[in-house]
Amino acid sequence: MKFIAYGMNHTTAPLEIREKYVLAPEKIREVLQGLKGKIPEVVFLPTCNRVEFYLATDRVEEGIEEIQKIVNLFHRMKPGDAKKYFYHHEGPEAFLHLFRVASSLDSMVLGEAQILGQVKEAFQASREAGVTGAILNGVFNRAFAAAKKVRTQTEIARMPTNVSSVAVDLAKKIFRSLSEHSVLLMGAGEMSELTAKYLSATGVSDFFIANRTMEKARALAARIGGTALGLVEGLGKLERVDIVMTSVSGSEFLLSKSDVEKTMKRRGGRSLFIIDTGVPRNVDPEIGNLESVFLYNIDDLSSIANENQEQRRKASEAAEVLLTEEVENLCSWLNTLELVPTIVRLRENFEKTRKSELEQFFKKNQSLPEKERKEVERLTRDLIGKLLHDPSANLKKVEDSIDRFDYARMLNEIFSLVERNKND
Amino acid sequence: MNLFIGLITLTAISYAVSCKYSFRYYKTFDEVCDHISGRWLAFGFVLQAITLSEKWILDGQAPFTSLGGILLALSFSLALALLAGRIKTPVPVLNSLFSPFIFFLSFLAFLAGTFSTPPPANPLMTTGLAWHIFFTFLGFSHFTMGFGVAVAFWIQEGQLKQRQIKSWSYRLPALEILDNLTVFYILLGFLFWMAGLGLGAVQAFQVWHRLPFDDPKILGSFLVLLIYGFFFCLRWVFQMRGRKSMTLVMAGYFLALFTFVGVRVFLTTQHVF
Repeated sequence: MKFIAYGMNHTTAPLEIREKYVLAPEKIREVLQGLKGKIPEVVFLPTCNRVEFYLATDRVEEGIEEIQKIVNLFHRMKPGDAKKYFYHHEGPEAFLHLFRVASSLDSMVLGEAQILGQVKEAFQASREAGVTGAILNGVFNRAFAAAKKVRTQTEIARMPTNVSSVAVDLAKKIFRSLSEHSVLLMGAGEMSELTAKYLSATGVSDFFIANRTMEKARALAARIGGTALGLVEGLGKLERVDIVMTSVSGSEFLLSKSDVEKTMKRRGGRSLFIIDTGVPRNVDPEIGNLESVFLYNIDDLSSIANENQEQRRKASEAAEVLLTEEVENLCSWLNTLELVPTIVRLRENFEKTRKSELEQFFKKNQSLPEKERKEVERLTRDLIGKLLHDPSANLKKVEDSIDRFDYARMLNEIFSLVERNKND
Repeated sequence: MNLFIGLITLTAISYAVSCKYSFRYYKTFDEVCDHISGRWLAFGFVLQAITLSEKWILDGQAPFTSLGGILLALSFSLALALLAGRIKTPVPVLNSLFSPFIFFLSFLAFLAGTFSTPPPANPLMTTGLAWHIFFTFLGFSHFTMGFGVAVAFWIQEGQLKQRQIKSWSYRLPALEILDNLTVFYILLGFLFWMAGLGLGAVQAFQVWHRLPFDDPKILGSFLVLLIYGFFFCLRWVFQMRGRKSMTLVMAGYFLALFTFVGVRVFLTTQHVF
């Protein structure tokens, strides 16, 4: 049995090609049903950045041909045109590819969290369609475990890489639990809304939205669940809130050092986190020098996001090493699987020989009473069982994967198991 | 003697396992490793409590007259402080920072306890004096933990102010947690230190009929109380928080460290320790 990864992704196919392969969930089920019975084991992974098939089959060419046939039914391209965008990995290379995909090392945004969920969903859908078996179940479960290891043992997913999530992450470095703190959004633009959504996801529920135009403030307050205020009214909330985000247009500072200094005296030592995303800036940069005040502007956030991106790239090198080790472990595990079908084939061959010999024996001795016939049959069955018991048990005891693989190969050759099965 | 050696060996092993799992947590962020580390720390602590009690009961005097006993008591009080912090607010990275110290001290206690002969009975080691020593050990250990957390606060706050966040700092908890934990440790340390000083003062009156403030160890100890008292006053009355507040904690600790160790090295004192 060979393991194949066959597909296309954002590095091999442009968006206009990839988008032709985006399938609705019912179509995905149709693809899987179409492959059932034609390929022993298959998993279909369609995401916005990739369309991949993972196969376990002895007949590689036929398997790929079947996939192309099915896929061509759903997109609007000539088979020849589409083929140039597809890649094909086999054996350990294919394992490594799957592991890299699940660990988001092959993603457009390195370390993104969604891909692992998508791979899990794809595997689940294939399993429900009944097109997976022992090999793909084992390989995919190991891929999930490897991806988890990469996420926990390397820094790849630890540091946020977009400006809004960097802001939320910084807030988490200052405050124990964000759900206990209030947020003031000054300005009701896109950036405010996005950051509010990120904050909301961490449990923040107490929002004040201050804007020059009350309608806009009310609209945003309705969307994220908060209180709409005028700008001046919003400034009055400085004493109560712990996180302030400003993105208001204007040439003068919205928050001056003296205002914040006075407010800090009334806050009982509580920290204040100010995110200034306005251009020109809304907050006097001198405020950042005040005790317990943390001020970040859009450049600071972008620079941290870029730095984190670089850290993720460095972490991916460690992740690659980890995945190579995992692939080696997987190959050893697969070698052990080789022995089980060998033992089954050996038993089947002995059984066939026994039956044919018995048939000839009974033909020659037709006068043999029924009771004695049954006794002879039992005797031969027990004999085969006892003769094969020790070799089977001992083979299962062999621990070294390479030895197991060699034993399986030798047994196949000595007893002509593969040839005989093919002839049968 | 054999029971004592057996117990301190087991204690050192427990702390070593705790240390190993705390490092594994630092590397993998796996919370299971932190739980295992915490359990081994607690187990080592219980063993150490039994060891100290057994030594105290069998010798008929507090085990603070030998180096092994002192090291044992120090690692015991540090483990207690770490466990107290874990109960208040679990901060796994603190385990990674402090469990090596606890293990190192308990290992030294094991070496000292195994290879040195027990000291003869000391008539000066009364029960009051023993508790005086024990409480000051507890106070010092809590100040040590408070100092460690204050340093973590300093680093985290410094990075946030300079807007340069290093990747390893993701292991440090939020400033608010570090701030609360520092106060918790300093408050506990303050109470133990005060109790230790009170018992010491009673002893001093019994022996010398006065409080010898000319002894730098006694003077230093009272100054430590004064600094931390000032810290609480600034915090609770004037709401002082942040870097300045942590600087005061660190200053208090350096004085406590000098009083605890430095005085005997650089100055003259009537204290044995």
